[in-house]
Formats: sequence, C-alpha cells, structure tokens
Amino acid sequence: MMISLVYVDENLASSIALRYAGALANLTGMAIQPIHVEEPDHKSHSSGSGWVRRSWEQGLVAAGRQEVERLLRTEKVDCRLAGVPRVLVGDRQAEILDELQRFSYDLYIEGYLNTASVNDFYALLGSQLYRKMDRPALVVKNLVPLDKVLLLTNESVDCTRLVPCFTHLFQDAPVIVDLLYYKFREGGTVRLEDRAEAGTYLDNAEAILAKAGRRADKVQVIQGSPEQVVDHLRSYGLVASTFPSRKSPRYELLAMLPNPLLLCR
Amino acid sequence: MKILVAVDEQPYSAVAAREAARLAVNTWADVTILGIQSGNATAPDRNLGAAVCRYQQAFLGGKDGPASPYGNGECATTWSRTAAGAWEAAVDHQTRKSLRLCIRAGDPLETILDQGHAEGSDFIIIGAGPGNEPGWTGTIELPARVANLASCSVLVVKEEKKVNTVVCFLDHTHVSQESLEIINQLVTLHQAELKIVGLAAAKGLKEGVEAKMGEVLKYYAARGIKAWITLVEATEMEEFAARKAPKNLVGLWLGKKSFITKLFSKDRVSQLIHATGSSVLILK
Repeated sequence: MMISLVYVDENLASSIALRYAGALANLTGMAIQPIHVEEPDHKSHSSGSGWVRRSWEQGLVAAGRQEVERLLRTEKVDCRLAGVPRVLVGDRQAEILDELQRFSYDLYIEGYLNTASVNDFYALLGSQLYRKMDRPALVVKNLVPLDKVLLLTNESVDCTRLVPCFTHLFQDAPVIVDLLYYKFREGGTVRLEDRAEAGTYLDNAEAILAKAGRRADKVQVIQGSPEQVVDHLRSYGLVASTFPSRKSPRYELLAMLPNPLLLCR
Repeated sequence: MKILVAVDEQPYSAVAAREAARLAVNTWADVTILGIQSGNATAPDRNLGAAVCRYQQAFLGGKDGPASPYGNGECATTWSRTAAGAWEAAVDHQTRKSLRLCIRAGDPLETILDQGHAEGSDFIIIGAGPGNEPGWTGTIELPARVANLASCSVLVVKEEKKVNTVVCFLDHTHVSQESLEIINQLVTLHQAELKIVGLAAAKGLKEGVEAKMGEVLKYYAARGIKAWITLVEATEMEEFAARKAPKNLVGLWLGKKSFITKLFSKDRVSQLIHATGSSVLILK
C-alpha cells in the first residue's frame, strides 16, 4: 500500500492540503500519514535535563497532538490513515526529512498559500527540506477537483523520471492525462503548436506512458511567457513536473501556477 | 434580494441596467431603477424619463420572447409625483417580482444613498464612464463615493464583457452573508471562477483573516464553485488588481478594520476604478 506523509499545522494551507490529500488517497487507494512538528521557541526552551526536559517535551507533543486531531476532525478527513498522527518536537525541516528517510513514504504532501511573489515559491523549493528530499513532493496550492492531470515538460524535464513517478502514484486512477511541452517566448500572444515543434520528445514521453498502460488525451506544445501560460492551465487539478534545478522559465511557471504541483525527482 | 440601479442618460447607464437585468433575472430580485436628476425640479426631465423607460426594457420579456418575472410589455410613460422632487412611473403590478421606476431630483450622492437606505437595498449598481472618464457630469467621482458611503455592496459597471474570474480582496474578518451571496450570483451569472485574495501586511495576514478565507473557501466549495486562493501584499494590491482587471471582475471587501479602508480612502477607491479600467465590486 502506498503511503503519503502529509504535514499539518492548524492553518489554511494545511486544511487545503488535508482535503486534497484525502481526495487523492480515495482516488489512488493511498493511505495518508499526518505529521506535525512542534518547534520550540528558543526563549522558552527548557534548560533542564532528564525528566524535566522530558515532561516539557511531552507537554509540547500533547499540545501538538490536540492541534492535529482538532484539524482532522474539522476537515472531516475521510480516507485511510496509515497510523496515528506523528507529532514530533524539534526543527520542522530536519524532523520531516528524518521521517522521510526512516520510512518508505511514497510521497510528501504539504499545503502552500500561493503569493504574487515568485520569490516565496523559490524560497520554498530552495529550503533544506526540498533540496534534500529524495521523494516526490506534492505542493497543494489550492483545493481543486482532481480529475485532470497535466504532465508539464520541456527540454530540462527527464521523462524517464517524470512519467514513472506519476504512473507509480496514480496507477489506474480515473484521471485524464494531458502531455504538454513548454517553450518560453517573450512578448506576443500565447500559442499552441503542433507536437512536432518538440522534436521526438513527446513521442518518447508518450511511449513511456503507454508502457505503463496510460494514454495521454492531448499532446501539445505551448509557447509564451510564464504569466500567459498560467491562464491556459487553470483547468488542471494537478500539474506534474520534475524539481527544477535552476532558475528558468519553467521554474517561474511552476511558481506562478495556482494549481497543486507534483514535483518528481 | 433588493437591487437599486442608479442611472442617468449616458451610455454607461444602459450598460449598468443590462448587467443589473441579467443579475436580477437570475436572482429574482426586487429592483428599483432610479433616474438621477441634478438640482431642483418641479417635473421629471423628459429625456431622463425616456432613458429610464429604455432601461426598463432590459428587464421585460419580449412579446413573443421568454416570460420575465418583471412582466412582458411596453415601456411605462406616465410619471406621478410621490414627494417633492420625486416621481414614480406607473408599472404593471401583477408581475411576480417588483420593478419600480423612479426619478428623483437633488444632490445625486445624497439621493442614491437615501433611496438605498429607504428601500433597504442589498445591492446598488451604478455605471461609470470608460477609461478615466467616470461620467456623471458635475459629480465626477460619484460612483466611487457611492461605493464608499453606501451601507450595502456596490457594483460600479464600466463595460460589458465576458468575465473569466471574479477576484475578491479580503483583509479583515467581517464578511457578510449578503456579500457571499452576491459573489455567488455573479460567479454563476458569468460562469466564472472565483479567486479569493488575502491582503497581507509586512507581518503577514491579520489575525483571523486566514481562518476567514478558509470559511469562505468552504462556503463556495459546498456550492460547487471553484475558488482559488492567493496572497498579495496590501501595497501591491492596486497593481495586482489592474493586471487582473482586463479579463476579470475585481471586488473588494471593505470593512471598518480593513487596510483597504486606509489604503483606499475616497480617492483611492476612485483611483482603483480608474486604474482597473473595468467594473469594480465593493462588498460590505
């Protein structure tokens, strides 16, 4: 059984992530494992040791557990849970990384409130957690129906990694899959072009998809600036691509997209 | 719902009336079309009366067309005095929903606010000229001032267009049921998507705003309306709104504890209406 690790706090981003994760779990048969990390405030950090420190940490864990349980109740999460919520004390990123490395989770999920500044998204993907993570990550920016998935590619996306990552998670889940090759173009209007514009890239991607028993509904090339292309992709319940390795138009497009993003290694 | 449509004889008022008619037919609202006549007068202006009657046609079903809750028929032409400087046209009262035609003379701002208050209007719709020409000769900032001072929500209509997304800014926790319903109706009417934009200060969102955004999101999700959320710095709001305006309808939830109230004083709401160059919805 596939298991995804879902980070939860008592906030809107987590509320969205939980509900989206629930929908994904019901679609794919995946179970979810909620995790929450209590980060101690350095000023109030217990200077004690032994049972004093243990009691203090237990208090934090109990408070965190209450928070998570309250959120799970409020959001009426109706899917299979892999276990009781994991509540840890420490550095949030380090604890999540440690949890991901110790157990064989198939996916990491967290909520993110999209902002008008692409730098906020760059900071998220540039964080220690995302740089060191060796699993696919699902960044839930909005709560939208998960009925149509876009595989977003270009020359920097390795389809031999993206397509198997997607097919492993979704298997035979009933979603429409489209394949898009993105080409940057400044100025003018956004243009949909023939697949031949991507050379043999899309043929290869389709072949890998077919090997996994999936067929792309639409296979297209799109040309335009990231801002223009964003509007054309609003109908997708998920946009899947690989982690961008450096600043590029595709990275900017991923930052601007309001859709939930699946980022594969 | 009770809708007040404030009009003069300019083309933008015809656009506002058509937008009001589409919304009213969808919501089965009770409607008053209020013609505004500047200054003191002892009789309704004939041209204004004719314009109000033309606007009435947008609400009525044609002779052979589909039935309208406001009746099918001819334009009203007889005006009766109801008070000093106030007249009302005789209309068919046997209709399922009420459509009143009124003309009032006096200060336009006071007249519109007074009529809205007296009727308990839930929504005021007013036209404004295109681009940087707000119209309403002699009272150039009238739509913005109505939007600022009315106790109910106000739609300033600048053009007739296909709306892809209704973009609503929120930075406080008071969101009335009426405002949610108005957005619901506009989204349905235009078959548009909804974007809820949280306005953040340097330290982030004000306390409770994130939770309120969550409530609003759930409200629309329960009604099958696709709602997107995003955060924008309050200082960048005007630029963001202007960028989004061409394809969208921009809305602001104005509250007493709102940054927007501070940022968008009377002049700023007016500036926003000019900056976006398109219709603006002020939600109360």
